Parts: sequence; structure tokens; C-alpha cells
Amino acid sequence: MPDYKVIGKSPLRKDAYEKVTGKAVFSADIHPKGMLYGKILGSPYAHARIKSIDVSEALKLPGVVSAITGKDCPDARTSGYIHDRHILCKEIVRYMGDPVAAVAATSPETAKAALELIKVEYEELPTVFDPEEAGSVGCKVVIHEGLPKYDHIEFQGVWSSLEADRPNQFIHRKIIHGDVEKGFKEAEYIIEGRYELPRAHHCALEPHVALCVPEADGTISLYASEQAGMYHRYEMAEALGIDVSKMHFVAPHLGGGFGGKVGIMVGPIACMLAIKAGKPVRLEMTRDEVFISGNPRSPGIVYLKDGYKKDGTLVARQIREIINSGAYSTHTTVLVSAGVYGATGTYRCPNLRIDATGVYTNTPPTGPYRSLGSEILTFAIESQMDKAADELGIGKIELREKNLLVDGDVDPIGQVTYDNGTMACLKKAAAYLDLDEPRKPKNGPWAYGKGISTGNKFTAYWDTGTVAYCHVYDDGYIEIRTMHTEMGQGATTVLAQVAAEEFQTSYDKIKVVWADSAVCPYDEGTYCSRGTFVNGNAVRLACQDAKRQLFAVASKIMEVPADKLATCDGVVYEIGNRDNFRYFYQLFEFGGYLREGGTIIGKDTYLMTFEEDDRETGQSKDLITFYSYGALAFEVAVNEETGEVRILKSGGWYDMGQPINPKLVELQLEGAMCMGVGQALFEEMLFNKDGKAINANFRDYRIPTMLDVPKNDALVSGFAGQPHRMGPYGAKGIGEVSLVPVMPAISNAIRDAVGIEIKEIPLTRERILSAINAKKAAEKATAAAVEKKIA
Amino acid sequence: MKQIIKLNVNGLDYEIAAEPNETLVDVLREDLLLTGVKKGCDDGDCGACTVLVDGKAVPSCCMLAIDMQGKKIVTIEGLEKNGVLNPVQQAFIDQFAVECGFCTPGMILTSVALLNENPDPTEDEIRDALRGNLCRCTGYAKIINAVMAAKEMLKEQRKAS
Repeated sequence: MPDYKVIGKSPLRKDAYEKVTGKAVFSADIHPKGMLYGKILGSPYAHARIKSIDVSEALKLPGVVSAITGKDCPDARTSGYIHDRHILCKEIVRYMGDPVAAVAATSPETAKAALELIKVEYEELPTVFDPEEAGSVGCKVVIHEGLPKYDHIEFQGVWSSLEADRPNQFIHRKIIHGDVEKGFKEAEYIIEGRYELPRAHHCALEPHVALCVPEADGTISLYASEQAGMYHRYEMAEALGIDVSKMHFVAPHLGGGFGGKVGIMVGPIACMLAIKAGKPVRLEMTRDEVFISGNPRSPGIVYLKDGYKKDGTLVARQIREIINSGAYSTHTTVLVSAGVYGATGTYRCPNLRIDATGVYTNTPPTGPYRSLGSEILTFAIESQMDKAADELGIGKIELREKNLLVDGDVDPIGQVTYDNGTMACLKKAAAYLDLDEPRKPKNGPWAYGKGISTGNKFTAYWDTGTVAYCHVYDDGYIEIRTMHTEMGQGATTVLAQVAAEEFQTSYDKIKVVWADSAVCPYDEGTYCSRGTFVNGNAVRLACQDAKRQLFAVASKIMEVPADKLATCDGVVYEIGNRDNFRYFYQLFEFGGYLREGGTIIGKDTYLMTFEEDDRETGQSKDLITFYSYGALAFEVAVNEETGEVRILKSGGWYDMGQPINPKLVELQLEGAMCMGVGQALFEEMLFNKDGKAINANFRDYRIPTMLDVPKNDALVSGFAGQPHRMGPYGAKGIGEVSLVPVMPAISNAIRDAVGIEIKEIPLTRERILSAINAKKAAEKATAAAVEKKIA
Repeated sequence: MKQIIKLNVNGLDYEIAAEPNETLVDVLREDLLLTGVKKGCDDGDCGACTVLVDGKAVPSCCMLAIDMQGKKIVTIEGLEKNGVLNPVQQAFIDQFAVECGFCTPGMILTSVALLNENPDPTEDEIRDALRGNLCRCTGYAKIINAVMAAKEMLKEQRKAS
């Protein structure tokens, strides 16, 4: 590894001090003069026609300043790839909680009381909640009658695709590689299964917040817990029907996101209220509103059919996936479209077909969740591979190794694999688990098992561009500006490290200004594990541009050609003659300006390369810029009398190229493993028969506490892989891939312990226990039948 | 009807007008602008709004402001003294126990209360004491490391004095 000054080291987080002292500013912490509190009225029905809305009584309540309904909102629909949503419902409500009105008042209590005075008359409509029924041919309940006439936006290789006979299906994404029918004919062993992942919630600790400040000059300032950076600013301007230059967007610190803060939710409503009131309005979702309307992970159903040769060679794989987007398409379109790469980035398969679909139902809208659908397909694939290994009599590691894509292989989207570290990760995970060790004998009700899984997460295909600025100051400080958001992942720290390395200067001399559209250049935002790679590269390029300018200035003063100059620790020096140097301040006038050219601001765009994929087959020679890879091992104990699962060991190894800040990467890995434990074992949003969420709080929807996750000596993580040829200093993203293999690894360990495959996540005690009881009953029935036969 | 209540927060006395049903978290955040107190669920389930009341860690969303008269309240803003961080704060920085930072104030204050009561907790005791503080980012391992490190720093401090 090259000898870096700052890269690969773990300087302390840039934002640690402000966060441990309570000084860090989150959106809900901002309190401008005259601020009002907003509240949203949601629909009490899962599907209904609004006959009338009357807010006049609410407006009479002292302290209520504005009240709005769909009539006050723009006629144009907006949001995501299909513009299927008004800011507030105009005619139809499509899920229980769908916003129909909102008020702004001088106190939150008054706003809440005002909601009760709003009179809405509804006419109930028939509902459909089951995604397979909703996606069926000729489904009687049609959730968006106007779907074919809506605006369908094609953006970065994602497009909707309608089929006339399936009225609730809005995307059908296909990957066709080789000839899957021929593949199954060649196969000597075929295995099939139906797998299901539930609606799991991000549960970022910070609820969604938007604070809108209507400025005196007509600018609308929005401070919001939003992941999507400058993209969000454009989305907001479009939703409100205002000029983009009048839309000022700031994302202060985000209290976690995990995909749940992508896309417009409370922002437009806060803005409509504020514009109407002429005063700042802060709209904070309550926790139950976050659970219901915070776009949790889309539930997925996967039908998986695999064909192997007897020696374990995978020759055919067919996947049909149904993703439940809920009442609106949000960013599920991209989850369906791009989630498929979870099934194409890890294993070789000459004949593969995927048909992935997204459908509307009358449940609350859903969307991406830390891995964008990769985890849904990976759960099915890795679970079924484990079972196939047993049935083929091949080792679980051996079967995986046999089929892993290695550098030079053509993957199932037609792209040549390179810099793929899965094998190295798998070897480390297997060694940690010590699979050759004889199985632990049962201890009372406790049965022991081990499970392993690989996983990948693609990042950012298509021609994604990102811009960074680099401002060089006379006192030796370097200021990086980026529209990238900081939501805990450590972007500001990592980007500062990149800039410090570029300038060969101290990390402390780097300042990062982020996520304020008034001063920062374009970035799409924090998602898809793209930040380190895309913004890291943009920062490098901007720094290089700034250095060119710096050396041009210094060249004149020092009378040395610019290409013979370099910089370190706040000086410019002559290469080969370190005694000839100037401090930065010696290049500037007093006040930090230049005699010519003003100042030094480097800027550049990092653009990813791509080759558009074929629309019918999804094939391309150069589509995915990079995959991050990993393999994960779990050892569990399962109580056969209660269904309880205890995690005894967990170890994950990941290839994210060169880790820029290893401690921050470790945090991501440990965090994802524990988040995955909750998802695997108990997290699921539940609804009653009317479509009402029945566990929209932390008591009924539990997320792991300190007592639910592996203890420190049982939570092991590490890196295995190699620098990526295009990453900044060889770095790739890590945030999402770290979650992908957790659910299948735990599920496989449980299957190993109790000998039953449960194809439905979460693996709750009830589910495990009923599977064990069903198995016992079946065994008893078989024994009885045998006895009867003998008798 | 609003009433004038007296609160002692971070060593300072405040008189504020509050509704009888107003919770401590809302008064601290919206009236005293002590926004280091976070509101994650408003239901006592997440621990983000934890403050110290007479040294005990409590969820401020479950406390009525009016009942807090005559008690000493400490929020995250009150831990740093004369520019020196509380050892728990310093340990959270040093051990990388911070990610998004939303659970951090509550996590730190609960740890401070724990170490006041039990100066030498084991990992299990730390996990038990902090079980009411949810964190979605870190997986908790580095938070445990931070409390362990803070415990050692405090031991050193006690030895030195």
C-alpha cells in the first residue's frame, strides 16, 4: 500500500466535538423568529374519495395562522420517477395516513387541536393490500386511474414501464442473459423457493423534519432532514412550482437516514404552510408518522429457481420479484430497477433471467433502505444456495467459491468483473466460523448452528456527475464545499482526509462546508454508498484544479515553472529544492486576495462512465462503476422450546477498496451487523385488515437495544480486498453492502441449528417455534404411518 | 392556563411560563433553546431526550416541566466545564462512539449517571444501564468502548485527587 499521510489513518471525526456537546445543529433545532408549528392531518381510510374538506373551524381557533388542503396545492403532480402524488391529496386518498390537510399554529398543541376541527367527508373505495393481488392481470381495484397519463420521468437509467392489463404495476425490469430455458434443460439438479422480506423501517433516531422560512426577497429557504442534496432542491422547486434560484435548500446534520430520508415528504407541506402564513413553519413528524409515512423499506416477494450441475456449477437462475411500493411509487422505481444487481454482481451464471416488478397497494408508500433492494434478492439467493449445497452434498463454502465471479469473468449483465474481493472476504469469514469444527451438541433446549452469506452492493451507474469546490486561503487552510449531506456516515471527515492528502497538509487545516445550496455545488446526495467514491473523486479533482491555480501564482513569484512546484503543510516549494518555498500568505495580498484573478477556488466535475444497457435484456459492457463486496458469518443458538435466537458469534469481512478512515468503516460494519440482527429476527411493520399500522412505535416495533446485539468480543469485522482502480485512493463505498448479507447469514445459521428453512423474514420466535412444531408434528405423523404399516 | 415555574438547569435559574401538561423536553428545547436535548419518539422509548434530574438519567419527554421545580437538571450543554469536556464526552470522541449524533447526548448523560452510581461497571452492566438508549448507527460496540475508557479516565482522576 502506498505510504499515505492521512488516507488509511483514523483522525477523529470532524463533527465529534459538536455532537458530544449538543452543539451540532439538526433541522429541528433551528428556531427562527416568529416560527409556527405545523401538523398534518392524515386520511383515516386506506382508499377513499374526498367529498369535501372544511378548514374554517380550524382557522377560528386562536393561534392557528394557516390551514391548507389539496385545493391550495399546485395541480401538477410530483415526486420520484412517476409524478403520481400531489403535495396534499386532492380527490383520492390511497393509504391510511395519506396527508389531506395541514395547519400552522403558534404552538404544537394548538396545531394538534386544530386538526380535530377540520371536517372531511369521504366516500370509501375498495382496497387492495396484497402485492401479488394488486399486481395481477385485471386487478379490480385500481389505485392510480390516471397512471398512464401521469408524467413519467426517465432519470439516470431508470424508467417506469407499464403493462396495460396490470393496472397497478408501474415497472417491469428485465435482465436476460443467455437462455434460461436451455440452462434448466442442462441442469442436473433444480431447486425452487418463494422468499419474502417484510416492510422494515429505517428507524433513524431523528424524525423527519422540515423548516421552511419564506425570506423577504421571495426566496424560500428550506432546512430539512433530507439525504438528497441538490437533487432535492430541484425536486422541491418543481413541487412548489417556483424558480430553482428562489429555492434555497440546507440539510443540517441528519440524525441518520439509511434511505428513509430520500425524496420529498414533509418539505413541500411545510413550504405550502409557510408561504400561506408568510412566516417560518417547522413541521416535525411524530414517531408514528415516521413509521407510517416515512417511506420504510419496500416489502419484497422473490420466486427463485436455480439449476445446478451435480458438481455444483450454477447453470441457470430465474427470479421473479414483486416489490410492494405502497400507495405511491416514490423511489421504489429505482429500487426495483437497480436492486436486480444484487443478483448479478456476485455469482457467475451463464443463463439468468430476472423479472422484477413494482406495484401499488393501499398501504403506506415505501422506498429504499440501505442497499436498495440488493438485500431482498440476496436473502433469497443465499438462503437457497445453502440448501442446494446440502442437497448436492457439497460444502457451503465450496459451492459458493465454485460459482463466485472472479476478475475477468463476464457477469450476468454482460460486464467484465474486476477488482472483486468476494473470495478474500469469504475465506476470512469461513476461517472465523471454523466450519470444519464438529457441530456443538445440543445443550438442553439449545441447538447450535452456523451460517454464512456473501453480498454485494452496486453503486451509481449511469452518468452521475458531482461537483466540488476547493477554496485555498492565505493562512494555509483549505475549504472544501460539497452539497453532500452528513448523516453520520462521516462524509465531512472522509472528504477532509482526501483534501489533506491532496495538499499533503494537516487534516486540521481542512474545513468542510456542506449541504447549503447557497454556497455549495451540485451533488445528488447521500445514498447508494456513493459519497466516498463520487464526492471523494470530485474533491480530488477540485483540489488538483486549485493546486494548478496556486502553482501558476507561485510560479510568477518564485520564478520556477509551475510543473516544478509542489505543496505540503501550507507552503509551495520547488521540487528537488525544498529550501526554495513560499508560505501561502506570501502568495496573497493582505486580506487574502490575489493581484490577478481574485482568489483561488478550484472546481471540477467527477463524471462516471457508462454504456447504456439494452432495455429488453439489461445487458451492457460497462454499466456499474463499482460493486462493494462482503461475506459474513454467524453462529447462533436456537431454543427449540421458545424459538429464541442468541447470536454467539458474528464476523463480517468486506471489500470496500482502500478504507479512507478505518475506524469509520468499522462503525458502518458494526452498525449494519446489529441493524441486520433486528431485521433478521424481529423487525416488521404490521397492519390490520383495514390497512391501519398497528405497531407504529418503538415498543411494538422493536429495534435492537444494547441487550439484543452481539457483545463486543462476538462482533468482529474487517477488510479484505484491494484498492479500486477508479476510487479516490482506491476507496469504494461501504454503507449499504454491510447490511446485505446479514439476514441470509443469520437465517442460514438458524437452518443449520434446527434443520428447517424459514423463507420469511423476520425470524421471530413465533415463526421459528411454529416451524419447529410443524416439523415435529410431521415427524410424528410419519413415524405413526410407518408403525401402522409395520403393524 | 400557563403558570410561571422555576427551573434550575445547568446551574442557572430560569423562570418560564409553561402549561401544566407541558413536558420537560419541550420546555428545554423550545423555551430554553437547549436543543442538545433530542426528541426521538416523545414516548419514553428511545432515550434521545435523556437529561439528569438530581443526578439520575431520565427521559425528559416523560416528565412534566411543572414537577421539575426544586430539582437540579443537567442537559448535555451543562457537562463541559470551563472548556474541559466531561471524561465521558472525551471518551465518546476518542473511541469513535459517535455517528449521526442524535442519540449521543442521551447516551452520554446515561453513561455519566451510571458511572456516578457504579464507578467500575462491567460490559454487561453498561449494556443493562444503557438498554433504554437506542442507537441505530453504531451497533453499540464503540459506545461500550467509550464508557469503558471514560471509567478508566475517571479512575485516574480520582487517584490524582
